[in-house]
Amino acid sequence: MTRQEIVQVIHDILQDQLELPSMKAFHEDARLNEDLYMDSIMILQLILHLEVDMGFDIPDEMLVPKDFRTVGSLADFLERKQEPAAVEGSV
Amino acid sequence: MFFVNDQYYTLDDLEEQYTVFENIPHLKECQNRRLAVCMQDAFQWLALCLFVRSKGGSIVPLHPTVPKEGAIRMANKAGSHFLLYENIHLPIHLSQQINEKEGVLVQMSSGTTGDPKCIERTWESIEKELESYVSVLPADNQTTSVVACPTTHSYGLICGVMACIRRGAEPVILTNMNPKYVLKKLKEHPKHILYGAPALLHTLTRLIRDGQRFDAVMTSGTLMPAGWMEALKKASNRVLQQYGCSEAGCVAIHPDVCDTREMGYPLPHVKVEAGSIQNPGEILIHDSEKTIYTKDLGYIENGVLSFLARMDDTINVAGLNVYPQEVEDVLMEEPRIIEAVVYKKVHPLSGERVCAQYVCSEPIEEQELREWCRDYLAPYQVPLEFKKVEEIEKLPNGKVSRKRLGEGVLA
Repeated sequence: MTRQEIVQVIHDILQDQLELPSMKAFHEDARLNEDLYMDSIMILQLILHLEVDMGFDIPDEMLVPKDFRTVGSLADFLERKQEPAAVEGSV
Repeated sequence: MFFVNDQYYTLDDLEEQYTVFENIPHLKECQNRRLAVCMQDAFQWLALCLFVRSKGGSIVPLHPTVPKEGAIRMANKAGSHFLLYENIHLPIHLSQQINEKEGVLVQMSSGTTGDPKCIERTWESIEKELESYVSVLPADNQTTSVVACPTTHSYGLICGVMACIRRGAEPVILTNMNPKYVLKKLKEHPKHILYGAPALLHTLTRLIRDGQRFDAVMTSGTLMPAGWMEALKKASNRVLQQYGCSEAGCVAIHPDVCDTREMGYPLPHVKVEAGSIQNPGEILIHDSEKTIYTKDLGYIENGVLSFLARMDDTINVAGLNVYPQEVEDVLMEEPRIIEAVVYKKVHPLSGERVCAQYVCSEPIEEQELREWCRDYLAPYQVPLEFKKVEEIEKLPNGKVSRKRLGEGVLA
């Protein structure tokens, strides 16, 4: 999945699944907490949709809060998560 | 002693931390002082809490995400002498006033029915609760409490952390809310009792894989929708529920929940009163000193306390009681409904009426919703007004205020 597609996936989950009323503020630089008004329960729901519906494999490590700060940093994080799988696959 | 995420702290580590505190004048002399604490570092927070308790001081725990200005405001409201915000060496001095009572844990009540208020509980009353709690909890010293809820709130702090230490086991405190990480930690501690809020437990249930099972799970704070409970039970060896309030702490435990409304058996250190199944009444808690009026409506049947609704939330439709949770459960069963909340509005002529707000995955015709409800509910229970919303308004503590939703007058 390209980075742009990942951003679109995040957008669609927030709009269609979480029905965030603050979608007008959606942008790569939008902060999940301060700009999109997401609380910890919504972040949990977002993770759930990414994993269960979209098939992203969220690692079972501690999440770095920085990765979940903005839409863009979350997209970077998900993009990085795709890479190791691709490397393993090619070995 | 205990884990915070992956880090293990021994009793020596704790004592070393005490020595650090002893060398800081404002901490050394914390007896009869009230200290508000807002800290990211869970180990330092817990060490400080245990230290202040041993000194006979008072502590006001503030959730680590509270911003500085908010922390100052809350600390002032709680009558704190100073606030430690992220730094134990630089106290923010707030007040010199002498409080009536010290040697207390100060908790902010949920404020479901109004503004949050400060509740003071003496360390002795917490000791009594702990002794009683541990005596009935079906867990031994080989069972790890995995605390995946804030340790600044009494559920996580008293029932999660302190009760675990009290029964000679080592709690695992998780501050990282990655649900996959929580699942990994549970695997590492196969004999566990997991403390979490319903939303987290539901997420974990959806993510659990490869035949992994929860050993024991504790739920508390807000009623879990029946469907969530069913799924959770399938994935767990045992689901427990506890009931209490900030004033009294935990007062009832159910060792094996079937019906989400069943809160369980009253703990031995309190006497709990409520109505009967035919005639539900306010849940009253009597401890050795006082009687607490919970404003919760419930009943006791065969020794088991059941919770029906907040009293203020019960809807009186022409003399018939409608409990919002019952209607919400029916709405939540409709596959397209993601979330539903039922509350009352007062009509100037016809009294109280049932109203509902809901969040859905696909549009639903109001007529379809009515028919769905009619299949399961008595006519007086079916909401008069359905309102589709993007999101159901929550209070800062994550709970729904049915009172606030119903403040509008029915047109």
